[in-house]
Amino acid sequence: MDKCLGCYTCAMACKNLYHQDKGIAWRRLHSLSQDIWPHSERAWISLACNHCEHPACLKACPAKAYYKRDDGIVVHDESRCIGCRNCVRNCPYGAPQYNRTEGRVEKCSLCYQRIDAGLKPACVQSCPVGALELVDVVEMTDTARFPAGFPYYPQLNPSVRFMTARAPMMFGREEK
Amino acid sequence: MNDLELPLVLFTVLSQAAVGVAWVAAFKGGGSPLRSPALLSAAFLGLALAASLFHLGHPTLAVTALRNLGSAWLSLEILAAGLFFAFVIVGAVIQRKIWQVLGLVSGALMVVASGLTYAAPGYPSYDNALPTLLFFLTAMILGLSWGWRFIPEDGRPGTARLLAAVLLVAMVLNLVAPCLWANGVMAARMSAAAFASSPLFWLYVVAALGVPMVLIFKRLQIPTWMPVYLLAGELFGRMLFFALPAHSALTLGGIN
Repeated sequence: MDKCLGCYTCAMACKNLYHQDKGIAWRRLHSLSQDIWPHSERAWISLACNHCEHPACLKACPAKAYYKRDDGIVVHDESRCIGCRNCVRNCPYGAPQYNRTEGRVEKCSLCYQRIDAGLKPACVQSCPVGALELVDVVEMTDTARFPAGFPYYPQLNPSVRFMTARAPMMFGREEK
Repeated sequence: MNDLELPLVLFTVLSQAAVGVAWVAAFKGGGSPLRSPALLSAAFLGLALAASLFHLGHPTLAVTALRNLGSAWLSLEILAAGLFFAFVIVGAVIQRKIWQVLGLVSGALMVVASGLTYAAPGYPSYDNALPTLLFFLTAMILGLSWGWRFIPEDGRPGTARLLAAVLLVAMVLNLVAPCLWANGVMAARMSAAAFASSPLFWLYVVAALGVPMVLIFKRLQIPTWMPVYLLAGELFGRMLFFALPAHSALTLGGIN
């Protein structure tokens, strides 16, 4: 969050790679509200699926269209999806999104095909300032799990960590 | 405001009406299995199941909704609805007490599973027992009103009094819930504001619950038009149930 410029490159890289329909965006940027970030220079939170340890989507899907890989990535198998939208109701972070044209839900799968090929996810690769990284959350002890602006759901244990934004430095001539 | 989710409105309300009619026939109908209430119950549930298919993006895969019985309340809801439908039909044909009991149990299970399906983390205002309580109240309101004519004459004033009491409980619950949400997380506070500021919500509380409660309590009988009126009221209220609450994702980047 400290590095993020709010340039939307991560969201656009994701959209370009997967040709998401109009209105669908697996990764989205959210501007922090002025109530929690009272600076004229805005701060951002870039979010897609959080690949929770206990995913609400996987638990609620009646058709078992979700599965969790050994590396923790939560994958949605669209061929099994019946379009009931129960996962949309259950995920508090809005990750699964309903595609009305397809009649199915879709979401970020952390570019697991790219990861299997030794590449970085599209969002991580595209970020011009290195604000997104693929890390082992167990090693991230000095990062925030639920910063302001990210709803508190410890029972799901989202697999994301945040380095919160620092107050911007002000440059200028001192008033006399 | 969310989608009205009309197929889900029809499915939940009509399936709960089916369960309610089965309960009333069993507990108030003189103790013996009756064919007419069973057929009415089956008709409600048949319409409910048909309506539910229109909610799905791929209705032909509907049967695969039974795959996740281990953890998805929605799978259990569909299973219980199917069993309830089967038991009611069998009970109407083979008039034995056992089928009626099985129907009552599977019907109750269906209402519980349905309530817990909507107790989703994405909607903090519903992530509790509230949907289950509301669904049981709907089952009782519609069961008592539609099952009224199957009840012996001497049991009718007591049944009318019970229906008035259930309507009062439903009214209180509908009024108390937004008050509790007002002290919750942001999405719950947004839901409280959406309900409290909606004239349609107040119309539901007054016209669909309050007015029938007073009329039924005063007359101690249920006029012939009342079951249809109450059904329309519950359908209207269920539309608001789906349309008004705020999803947690709306608060991303804001105060939680």
